[in-house]
Amino acid sequence: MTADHVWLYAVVSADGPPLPDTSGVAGESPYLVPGPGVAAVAGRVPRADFDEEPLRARLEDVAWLDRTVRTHHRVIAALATTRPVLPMRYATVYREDSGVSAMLSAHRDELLAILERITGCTEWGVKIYLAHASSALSDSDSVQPADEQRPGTAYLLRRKAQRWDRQETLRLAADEVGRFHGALAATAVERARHPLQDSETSGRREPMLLNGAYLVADEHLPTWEKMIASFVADHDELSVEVTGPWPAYSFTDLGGRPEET
Amino acid sequence: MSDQVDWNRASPLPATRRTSPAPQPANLADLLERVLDKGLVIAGDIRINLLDIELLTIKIRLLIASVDKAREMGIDWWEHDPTLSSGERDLAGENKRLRERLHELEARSGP
Repeated sequence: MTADHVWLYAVVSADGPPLPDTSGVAGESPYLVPGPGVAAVAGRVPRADFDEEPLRARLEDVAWLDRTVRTHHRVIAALATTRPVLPMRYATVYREDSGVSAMLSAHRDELLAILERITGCTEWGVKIYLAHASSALSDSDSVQPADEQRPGTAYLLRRKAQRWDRQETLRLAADEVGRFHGALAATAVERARHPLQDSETSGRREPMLLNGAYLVADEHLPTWEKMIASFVADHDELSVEVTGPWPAYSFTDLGGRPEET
Repeated sequence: MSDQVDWNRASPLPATRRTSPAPQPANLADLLERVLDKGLVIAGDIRINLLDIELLTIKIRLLIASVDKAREMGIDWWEHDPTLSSGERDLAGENKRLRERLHELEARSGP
């Protein structure tokens, strides 16, 4: 047992170039833990902060969490500029290098298979929202004259019509977005539909219709860009948000394809 | 920090339909969704269950907003305290970008 624990950032091929000069979640310089054909990029982090109890306590500290999430990503992103990278889930911690080596040996074949699959590819996120939702779907009271004889009934009918409009608009948009996801998926090596985020999480008021992730081969990127540009041009009613290139975070499942939800 | 890998690396694609085609930073929810909820899961020796990441996203957004607020009020001592700011200058840069992003989000969701 050493005074340090081992925080994992990523799994890479064992025969890659030297590690980029970055600092990790504890300000440490990441190093390689070699395994058979694969290696882990790891950082020595103080046990006092990263043992189970103190780490759990630290995760409650939002500022610390924010900083370490970004640092974890920055180390992975730096690696990704120099070689194929299999990102580890945040907060994967071992007590010793030997545990890491044993893990690499135990999963060697699967890790090599994922690395091979993501080589020459980058992950792209596509989120689509129903734009101008508040105006397109807003109350149309102002344009509808009230039925003075039966105000209650007229109101209820009007509300019903609005609700139907709103549901119908959402349904049509969702269908259109679903078809687009299919087209993007056909161009991608892998795809995943992540759960839709609510407004509080997405930070946007419009309803989210797609939260997709796509693993795109470098040679298909021009086609990919054209598809998105033409979809955007044809759909004023939708707001399309594209992020990337990301390391292949969403495509690292051992022994299988990511779930399609 | 010697390397300056920019995780906000601009997308060559139109980042959002409703804003200019200028590069947009990846949003916070995108980053947290990936770093906290994706990536290779292999049981380590230390077992940690993360809280609901949607809740964490909201909490971090609030934190950034409050840091922003404090700075507006002139409370920025941590930026000048070497023990607090050393090695974290990049964080200030990121906060700046996030602040801009937040303003944009606020402007967008305004009445």
